[in-house]
Amino acid sequence: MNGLMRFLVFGLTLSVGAGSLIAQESRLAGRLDSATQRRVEQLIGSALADELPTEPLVDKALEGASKGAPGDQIVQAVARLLADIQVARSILGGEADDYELLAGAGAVRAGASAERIETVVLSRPNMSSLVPLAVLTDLVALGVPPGTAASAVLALTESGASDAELDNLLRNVSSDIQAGYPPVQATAIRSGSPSIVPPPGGVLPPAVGIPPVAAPVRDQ
Amino acid sequence: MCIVSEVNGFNELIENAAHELRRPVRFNPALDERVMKSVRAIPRFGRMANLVGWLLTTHPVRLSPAFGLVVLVGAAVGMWAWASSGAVPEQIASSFENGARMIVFSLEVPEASDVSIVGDFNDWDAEATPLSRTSALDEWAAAVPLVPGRYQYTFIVDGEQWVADPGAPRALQSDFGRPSSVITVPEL
Repeated sequence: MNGLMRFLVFGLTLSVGAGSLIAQESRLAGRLDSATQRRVEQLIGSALADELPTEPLVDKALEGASKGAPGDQIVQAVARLLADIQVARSILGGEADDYELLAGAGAVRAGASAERIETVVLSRPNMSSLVPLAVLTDLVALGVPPGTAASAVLALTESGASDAELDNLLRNVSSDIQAGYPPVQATAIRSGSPSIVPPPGGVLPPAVGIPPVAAPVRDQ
Repeated sequence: MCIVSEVNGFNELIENAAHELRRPVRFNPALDERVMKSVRAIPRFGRMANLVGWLLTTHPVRLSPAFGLVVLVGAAVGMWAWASSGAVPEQIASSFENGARMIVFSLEVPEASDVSIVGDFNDWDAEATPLSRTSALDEWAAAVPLVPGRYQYTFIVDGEQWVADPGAPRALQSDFGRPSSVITVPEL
């Protein structure tokens, strides 16, 4: 009976995997040249074999096709994303869902260390790490150094901040940077993290219409 | 003659009965006092208790169709005002059954004649999600249902100009040279 059950589960898994691959092939068909499609499908197959999410890889290939990128560039981008997801899996473990894995891959790409990413995730037990990792990545995209971004996010997650509060940190820092303040200074003050030493500079104004996460104005 | 005598006797009987009934009845003053004492002893409820009692009791309500229509329109206007006042998060307007939320993407390009959005949610297909011009602010907007996750996207203006969303974070690194924005839809 056990043997029969194992056979059925194996068959079902194989069917789902094959079905998924066929569905993704149909999405790629007509959008990529045949050589590029074949190489992308090999990468998707690798992801399937490692039980990693394949949807982001298909999306990345379609993004490249839509933006008119050459085939080699598309394959490189998909391979790079797969590598980032693999690293994220090794950091976040098997319990992380696809959303968290993709956000983790973003944080990896942003340059956050594995130790910092793991600390951020562990600081939020029983809660999704999607938003903290996404905010970390987006702060880096604003010009905040990865270590500073990770410290800022960690300061909030350790104090039990909600997703909305983390999002407010990002909005406030973004608005301060647009107003001309240096990224590190804005992040240090908005997060209230004692581990970030803001460089000398002016005093930040409170962001208009957005409630500050930490004390918005602090004397230097 | 005999009949007349019977009638007269009956009238007299009625007259006597009426007279007895018209006579004031006098009760013992002690009885009066006892009755009033019993009445005062009955526990009295406050106005709030009476109101609660009234609220918990069913009452027939009659409305004119015109009044009902006014109430409905008022409720609709109130909900619209609440939704437009920013009480709802900026981009998240409503919930869907499958955990997806309706995200409204908008771009202010009054001079454009055609705007669409491409992203991870529509296979980067330029024809999948056209934006419509809104009447108020010369904005273009489209609502897209998204499940929790992280999505890259960009606007295409007049079929050739790729424009990142000025109201959203930029994607960390554009792999293909053209700008992309990113949106994170948190889990509920």
